[in-house]
Amino acid sequence: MPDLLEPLAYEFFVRGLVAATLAGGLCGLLGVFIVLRRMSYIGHGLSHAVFGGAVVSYVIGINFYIGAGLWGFLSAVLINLTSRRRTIGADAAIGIITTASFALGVLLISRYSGFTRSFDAALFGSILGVDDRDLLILAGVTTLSTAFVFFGYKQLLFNTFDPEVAPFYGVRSGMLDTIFALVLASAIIASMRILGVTLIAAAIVIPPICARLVTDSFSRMLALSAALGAFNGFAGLYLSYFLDSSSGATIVLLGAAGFCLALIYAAARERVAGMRRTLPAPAPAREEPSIVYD
Amino acid sequence: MRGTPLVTISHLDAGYQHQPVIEDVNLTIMQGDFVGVVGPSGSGKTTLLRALLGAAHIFSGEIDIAGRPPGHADVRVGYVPQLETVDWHFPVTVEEVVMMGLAARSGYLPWSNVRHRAAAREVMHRLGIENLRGRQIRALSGGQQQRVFLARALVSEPRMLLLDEPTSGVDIKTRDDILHLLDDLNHGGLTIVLTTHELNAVAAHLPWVVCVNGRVIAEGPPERVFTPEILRRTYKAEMNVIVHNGMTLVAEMPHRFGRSDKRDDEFEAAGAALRGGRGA
Repeated sequence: MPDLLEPLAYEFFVRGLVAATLAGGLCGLLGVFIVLRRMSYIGHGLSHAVFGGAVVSYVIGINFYIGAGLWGFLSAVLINLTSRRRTIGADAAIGIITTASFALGVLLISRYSGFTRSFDAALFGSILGVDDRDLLILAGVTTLSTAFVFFGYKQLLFNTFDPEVAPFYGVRSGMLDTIFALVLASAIIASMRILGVTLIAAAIVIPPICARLVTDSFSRMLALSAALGAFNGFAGLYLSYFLDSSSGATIVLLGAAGFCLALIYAAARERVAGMRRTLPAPAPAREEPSIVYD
Repeated sequence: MRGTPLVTISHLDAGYQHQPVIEDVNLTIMQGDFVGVVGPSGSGKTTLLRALLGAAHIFSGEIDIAGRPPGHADVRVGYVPQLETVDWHFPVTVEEVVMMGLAARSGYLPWSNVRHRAAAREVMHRLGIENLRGRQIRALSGGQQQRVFLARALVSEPRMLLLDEPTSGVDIKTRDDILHLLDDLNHGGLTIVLTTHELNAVAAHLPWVVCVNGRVIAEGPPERVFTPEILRRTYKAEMNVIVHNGMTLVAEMPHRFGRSDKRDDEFEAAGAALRGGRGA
């Protein structure tokens, strides 16, 4: 029987645990808007774009958060603007902009040697890389993102449900989309060290989908998705200590297991609802033909 | 005279990006009007509505709504989109959709204040959907769904209501109910403009019709506007107009009547009589 409290004796682990819980909850919260706007690919794309920005900021010698943040925000705004052109579509816009950015990062890595190890951590996530400053930034981004969702709830709901019509009712859609892009880019950058570029998309998409499978209410979906994301972060990291596995991969796999459970629950609920439905009464026997010929 | 003008459109060229869809539109919508905009697909009906909302690109000309440009915050315009564009799987209840009509005016807290909740309840009650307020929107009939979006528009207390094809995809009874409901709202003083493909429904329910095909072809009461000549110019197709017991009915020109070969002569004669413009 392993000592469950053993990892808590390590300061780096406790810091990582707090970071993973915050990152999971943050991604789960923002993921609701992404999944409901049917832009699930944006998390995947944006994290890859941020990777390009991270490499560029390393090469030109500026702070990671500033360089990657600016890069991620510009990518998100560019995706937003491009996806509004109906001839292109959101998925294609995300594909082009973010893979180009990722490719730039890969190209720079191949040209400059010496930072392979730190970028392994950026790609796949590592709690060893989390320091107090990272934790502070993550806590700050989580607080600001939660405040944005809380105070913008009604307008965000309308803008997510009906983005074409919301501006006609006074909702400042363009401004909301731009702020959301900024918040999302910040969340991805702040979570990158824990979850890794390649796995962050799953942390954004899986909790809201699980929540959607078990509730038909938007507010409950938001709360549940954030809670599930936080749980996946907390339990996934704890599990990774005992399994000696990658933190990001374990968090995502735990989320995937939760998704399977939610799927089974939704199927069972649908089956029960179907059984409860009253069967329609049989059609009365036809007493005379429906077509009368002369 | 029909009353005082609410909307004045002068020499309007409007469309999207670099492409005008409607050209040289001159139109006046009076306070309390109930106007149906008809025309073939792609004729610019929706563009005209979007121009009134300030959402279309205006190349030249002017729109004046109660002394303000379209999209101005002082002019409240309620808009009901085509229901085909709605994501019915979105996790949102009837009441939440109705409350969206007040989203920009009800502060920054996630919950609505008592006054706005009461306003939403009152509108839902008026439209007969109050008992459905906790239902997810997918679990409603076509008529109920239309009422939900109508309630969202009404709760914003608009001066004018714009509806994009409110009768599309619903059965004849629901269509009739929706048009009667709109008629009631119009009698309450609300100015209503809707687009539709249902010419006979327009003829039966609406006092004013505008025929559009890239520009305004004609406007006026349906019994005067629905003539074979105006419909031919609007739709680029031959249509029959029959006046029966005071009702104006628009019928398509049939290729062949009936199913039985034995009755061909009879049907041919009936078709010939129609083509001869018996009631037109």
